[in-house]
Amino acid sequence: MANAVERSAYIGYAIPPLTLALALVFLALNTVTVLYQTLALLILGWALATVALAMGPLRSTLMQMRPSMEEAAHSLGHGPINTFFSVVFPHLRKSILAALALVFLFCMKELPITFLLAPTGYTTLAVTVFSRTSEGMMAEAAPFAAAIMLFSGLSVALILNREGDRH
Amino acid sequence: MREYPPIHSTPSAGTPLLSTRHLVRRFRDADRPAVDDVSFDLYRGEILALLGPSGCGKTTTLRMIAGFETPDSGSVFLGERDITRLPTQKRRIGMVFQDYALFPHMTLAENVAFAMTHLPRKQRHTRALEWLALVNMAELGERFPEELSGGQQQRVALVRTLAAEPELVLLDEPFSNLDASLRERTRKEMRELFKKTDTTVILVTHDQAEAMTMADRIGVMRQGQLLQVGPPQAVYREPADTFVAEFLGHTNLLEGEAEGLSASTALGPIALNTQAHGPVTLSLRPEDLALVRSEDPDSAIVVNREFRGHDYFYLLARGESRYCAIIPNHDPLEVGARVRLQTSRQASVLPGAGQPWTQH
Repeated sequence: MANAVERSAYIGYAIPPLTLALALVFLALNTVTVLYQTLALLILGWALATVALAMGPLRSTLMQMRPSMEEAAHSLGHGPINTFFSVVFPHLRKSILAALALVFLFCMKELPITFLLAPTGYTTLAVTVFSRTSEGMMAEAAPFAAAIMLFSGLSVALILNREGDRH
Repeated sequence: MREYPPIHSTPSAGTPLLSTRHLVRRFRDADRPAVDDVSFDLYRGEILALLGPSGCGKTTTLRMIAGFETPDSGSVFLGERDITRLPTQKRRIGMVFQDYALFPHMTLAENVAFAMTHLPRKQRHTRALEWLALVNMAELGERFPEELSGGQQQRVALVRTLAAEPELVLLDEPFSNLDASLRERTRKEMRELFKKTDTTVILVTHDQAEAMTMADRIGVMRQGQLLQVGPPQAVYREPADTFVAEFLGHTNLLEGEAEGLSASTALGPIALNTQAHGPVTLSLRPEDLALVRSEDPDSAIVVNREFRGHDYFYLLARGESRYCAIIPNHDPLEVGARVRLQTSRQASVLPGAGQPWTQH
């Protein structure tokens, strides 16, 4: 069961973003019409595409955690919920930050999903850069491209910093 | 700090604190069970060691008592109460893990305070420092576990377990991650601490020396079964079968024909610890043999000699048979010397010895 859920997360990552976005557009047009042209649909698209990405750092941290940690908390009188928040979650904090950075990086530079699912008037840096350059306004696109570089650099630094902390 | 009752030297009688009844745990259906019909009683203040080779089911038994494993059949009682299906956190049974399982993101004081769910939050820190002081580590309360040596981590893990004021403490191979030099001292300190706090303990180990020095009683396990339970002296002196005899140390196993309190063996007539008749297997510990120089062609030859400080360990051959003897270190015998083997103590009849004859 847990394995099936975990594997299905990779489907969203494996499907080409354009296909995923189109599928969601048709879903919103035909079935769940309330979602059409909403930010919620865009967020759903991003989430489906990045769940597997975010799971990477969390998974490796959870695998490294020794089962005796949780068992020790139980034997000291703590129930499952308290054990999760006092023992498991603190271990995951850095991994959650790393996962956030990865997802942020992905969404910021991602084009097809944003392009197809974003409600009218909503743009991201990547969309702005794309639309300006496609109209030949290279100079106008430059500051946005630079901003992407800056934010990418920052999130990469955050991830690398976490890797460095381990040793 | 509360007052501790005086040291108990003998387990108190009455209702046992913990009883296991016919515990069975099978990991795969086809296999033989990892734990096969294990029953024993443990009394308040007592230290019991479950001893056996790896894979004998001792750790699985411990995990069923802790509540980390559910038995396929059988029950665990704490006092009068059936706790077989009770979740771990409600059992009030503490466990010290082989890897200590200290929480790396908490300081030592926080680790210990985490165990005190029964105390108001405000008191926990002070009490945690008091517990750390009990193992001379109060000044390290603000340190993190990774800054400590293995021995220090173990002491913290131990007081953390005691701080929860459990009915029973379980130790899983507690000394296996310590240096040999540290082990003996830690064993002694730990036993003293348990006796001082009147703590009831089950210890799992594969080291017979550890079991004999730490425990009030030893339970020897093999292939999921509990073969014999008793005080270390009794299990060592009167083992139930050849496996127990050999697991607790070197021994000479002899086949003989018993006739009342004596048996005729390859070493001649030998006095027995108990009445027996017919074919028997006897265990004779190496320290119960005496070696007398002899030129008799029928005598044994010293084939090997090991100097062990306070004594010599001799390996002897007589015909096809091999014997071992431990003799104090004055007047040593050379390899090749001829000696006569004499018994200086009664041999023990192994009641459960059905296995083919093996010799050392």
